[in-house]
Amino acid sequence: MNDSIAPGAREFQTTRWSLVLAAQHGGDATRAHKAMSELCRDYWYPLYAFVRRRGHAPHDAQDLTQAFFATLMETNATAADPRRGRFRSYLLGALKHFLANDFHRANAQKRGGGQQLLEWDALEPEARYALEPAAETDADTLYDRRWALDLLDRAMKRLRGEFAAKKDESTFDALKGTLSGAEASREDIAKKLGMSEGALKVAVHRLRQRYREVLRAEIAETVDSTGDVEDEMRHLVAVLRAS
Amino acid sequence: MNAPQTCPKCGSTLAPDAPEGLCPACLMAGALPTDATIKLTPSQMRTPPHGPVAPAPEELAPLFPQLEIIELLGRGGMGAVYKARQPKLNRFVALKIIAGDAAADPHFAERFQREAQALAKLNHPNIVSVFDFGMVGPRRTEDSPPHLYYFLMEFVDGANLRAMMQSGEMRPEAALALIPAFCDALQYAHDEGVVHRDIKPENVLVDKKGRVKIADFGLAKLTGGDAHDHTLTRTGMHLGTPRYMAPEQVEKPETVDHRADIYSLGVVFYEMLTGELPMGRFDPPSKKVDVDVKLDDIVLRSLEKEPARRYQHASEIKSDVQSVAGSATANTPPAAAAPLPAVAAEYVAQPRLSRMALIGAIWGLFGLIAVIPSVLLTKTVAFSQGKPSSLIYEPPPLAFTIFMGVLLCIGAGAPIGTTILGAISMSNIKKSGGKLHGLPLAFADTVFFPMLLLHGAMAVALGLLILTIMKLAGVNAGLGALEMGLLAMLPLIADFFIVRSLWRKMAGRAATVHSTHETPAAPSDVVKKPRKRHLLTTGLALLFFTAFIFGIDFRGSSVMTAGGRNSNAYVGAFDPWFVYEGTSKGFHHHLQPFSWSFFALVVAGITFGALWRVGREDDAKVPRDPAWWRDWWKQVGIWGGLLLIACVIRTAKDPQKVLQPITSSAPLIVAEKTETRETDHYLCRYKISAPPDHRVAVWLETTREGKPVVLPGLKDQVSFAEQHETGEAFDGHVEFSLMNGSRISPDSKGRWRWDFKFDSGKGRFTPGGWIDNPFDGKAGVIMDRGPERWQPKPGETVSLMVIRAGREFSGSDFTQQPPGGEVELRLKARIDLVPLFHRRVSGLSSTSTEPDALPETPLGRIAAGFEIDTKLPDDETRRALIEKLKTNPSKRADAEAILKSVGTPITKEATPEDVLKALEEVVKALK
Repeated sequence: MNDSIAPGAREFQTTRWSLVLAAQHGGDATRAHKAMSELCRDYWYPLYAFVRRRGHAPHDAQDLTQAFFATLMETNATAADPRRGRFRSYLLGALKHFLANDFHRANAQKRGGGQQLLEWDALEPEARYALEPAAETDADTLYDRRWALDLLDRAMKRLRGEFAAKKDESTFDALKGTLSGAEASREDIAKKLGMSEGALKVAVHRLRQRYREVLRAEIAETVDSTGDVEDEMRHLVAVLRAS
Repeated sequence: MNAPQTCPKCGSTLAPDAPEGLCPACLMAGALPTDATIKLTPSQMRTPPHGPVAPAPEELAPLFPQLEIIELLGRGGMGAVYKARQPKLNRFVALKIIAGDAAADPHFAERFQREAQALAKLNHPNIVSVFDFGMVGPRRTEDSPPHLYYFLMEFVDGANLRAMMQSGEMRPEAALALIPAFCDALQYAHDEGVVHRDIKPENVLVDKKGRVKIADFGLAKLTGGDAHDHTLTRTGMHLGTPRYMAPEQVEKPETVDHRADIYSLGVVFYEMLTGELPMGRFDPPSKKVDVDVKLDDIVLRSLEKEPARRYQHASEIKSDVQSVAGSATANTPPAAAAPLPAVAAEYVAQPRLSRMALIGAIWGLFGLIAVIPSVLLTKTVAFSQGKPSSLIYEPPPLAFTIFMGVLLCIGAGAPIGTTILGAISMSNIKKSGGKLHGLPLAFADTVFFPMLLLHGAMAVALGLLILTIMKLAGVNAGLGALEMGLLAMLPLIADFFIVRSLWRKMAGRAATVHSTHETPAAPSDVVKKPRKRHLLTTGLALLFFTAFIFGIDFRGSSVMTAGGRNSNAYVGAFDPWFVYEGTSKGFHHHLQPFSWSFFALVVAGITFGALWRVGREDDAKVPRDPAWWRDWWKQVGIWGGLLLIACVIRTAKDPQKVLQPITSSAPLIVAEKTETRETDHYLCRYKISAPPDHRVAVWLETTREGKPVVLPGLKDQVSFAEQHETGEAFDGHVEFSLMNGSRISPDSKGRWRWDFKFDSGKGRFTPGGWIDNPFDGKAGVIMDRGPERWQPKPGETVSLMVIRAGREFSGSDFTQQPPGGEVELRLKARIDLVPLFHRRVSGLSSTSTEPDALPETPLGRIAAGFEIDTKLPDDETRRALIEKLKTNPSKRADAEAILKSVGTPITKEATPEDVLKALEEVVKALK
């Protein structure tokens, strides 16, 4: 099997990033390719924001991001170092490298040409970018911050979806505040939901657990081994606090 | 508009895109497991076979609140010693803690106290003083003693005798110099009634000033001097080191008195002299090493098995030793600390590799390393100016710039530094008479960089010669890569002979001088040397200043981009000392007389001068020149003079032009020229190829009525230069397009757009200015259109656009007020090949936003992008805006994006007027 993959990675064989990494060492290439394209679809926005913050115009930024993904798909992340398993940092590094080699840009357009990885119109990149705070001038921080926010968004959406499936969205709305540690008055919430305090405690606890699971799963998609998940989380907290 | 929300937990403002309206930082943090407080558990005092484990400084710290425990210095037989600091007294101290095992004895506390008090009485410059002692830590049970016993002692910043003995061969003189102080300490202690019992080289410390200090007096008694204590033997060295113990200490410990110390002293003495321990039947020192026979008696007497037959007092040893050593060491005053600078210094370093030669070699290596990565890093920079739609400047992080800058500064000084260090080191080695070695290394240092330069100069001279010959012979060609490679190799032959003869000259003399008993250099030599050195310095420095003219440069620039003003600094190696400016006559070089490379040179010079002085004194032991200031002025004079010369040379005409024929023999190939005439535009496109290491520069000039005209928004962008330093050939297009404009009528104030009208189909331009010859190194491709004259009619406008690689540089963005009547326009363009004789090393920037940057708030963006003021636009502006929206699709897209982002999207069918109205609504709302 693949000895060079970080220890503990075996249990993560099914995460997308580890699939991509595994492909370098004789893992399943088609699955890796698919995983890569999925990753691109999910994580395009921080890259776009980064490129924009670097001074490119919207249309250029789109082109560049598109071309970058095309390059990524082609090389299938062969340059990734499996010992440093974070997708986030790998992606940023690859993008910077890509941007620096400007003359690749023109060629990439020809290469990637036609195959639209991302539906730009539907994604409305510029609309989102317009909402970015102007305070940051550093593209790197913006990237990390966007990454973290997107991650949280996705996790929350999943949670909400789970509650909605149970026709319980109102509960989610009432309880979601507890996830960030904001202690609203428990009695009020209990009253609002028509629960006893005990039941509320249980519900909160369950929500917390599920939230943790979901978030960790999201992060796990982008790291290579269990140990990295917490590290990544800590890093993202630091990034978020700083902004 | 809602007031911005804040997170109830951490208080930060919530962004509108916060997930589920919650504070993202707290949300993420909520997913982390609660941080368990990391408790520092002190390690258990295990007793592994090799001894107890010393606690880490952090574990000790809570036990000693008044101390800062810095580091573990070492583990001894009894416990461990730490370096610590008393903040209140602002001094360093040594903290010695005694291992738990040793303190297990219930009577230990009592003995400890007694001994400690006895030690505290000892106050002698050659004895390590005890400041404090005590017991700390929790008690295991009610009855058992506390955890740790400690002593707080004087901290001696130096080495112990063991280390000194191990570092080199200890010479008899050093031993003889040490012994008196040693004896003083012993005698004093004995007089006070304290016996050391554990004298060994590890307990004899010599500080950096050469003072001898005996440590650990009497502590051996504390750990139970009984040989019956088995725990001690198990853990090893608790009970004095048997090898240094007097026989009675081993056999009848209760009869031990101060004479046991005398015996131990004898052992140490013997070891210092011979390097071995006196065991069994041993030879007297004079038989083993070259020492005075009289010393034998002293040593042997100290080592008598019967205490009664030994010296009875340490002071007796001292006087005997002093009489043997001669008057030189006789006058060491007993109370004062006898410094041993010369002796100690000799021991630490003898015979040794010349430090100077080593430093020189390292510096030279470093210089080479600093230059190579800079050359390799050229790919990181792509350059551009102008509106965001153009290329991007890609700055590496600031830390990297600083790092590269420092690296280059140091590396820049390497050629001079290495050479001079090598030269001086060579003379030092020769003078040292065997104490220093490393002549080949020093020689390499001295000749490497000069030979490199010489080699280069020879290659260049050869090249010029060949070219001149070729030109004279009528051969009009340049030198290709192969030829240049050969040229570079040829001088190697000359190198070999030069180096060989240099070696013979310089090293030959050294061979005869190299003998161990050489008398020190006569005073006259010492006086002559400085002058020779100065000459050497001057000559070499001059050589390298010339090299620096082609050398390293720092450059800064400031560029406006969409994100703000980008201030960049980059470091270039072998950068041309000029900037380009385009004119109708071609590209013009402007020199930059002042730059960072001067700073680097000055720094290198000063550093080097200082190094030289220090090295001289240290290596060659030349006594400090009493009139040192004379020397100092000389150095300043030399360096200042050289700097001035470099400035002069630099401000003169660019010497690079001399080299241009060699480097820029490649042609600019204009492969294709196409012209397109449509009803509404004229396009002229040149397809050009530039070879690697050349830059294509485009320059555009417009004149009106014979006077040059600056087209707002056009000038800066047209005289850009496309940088291709990647080694690849440039293959691209340069396009010039003239487009018929739109139908805006004159404004209410009667101002006209400036026109450039042409008839459709027939064209008023004659294709001209096309020079159908390859680039000849002097003139580029010139396009010269016009002058065209016409009378603008109301409603007629033409916009002049320059398109490059499919991207516009200006739209119909300019207006000019015609002075009345006829208008004349002339368009000239020029494409030049500019050879690149430099490598961009790295670019680094810090982005700073200045007030005149494009504002980033939505309101600001709208205002800037659409040129509407924060007060609502008047009719004229409105009309202009509508026009813009109609004709410029990207502006339209921007507007749509902004509207969408604020929640009022607009359909594609909406007219420009509607769009404008919507924007105005937004402006109103956002105010």
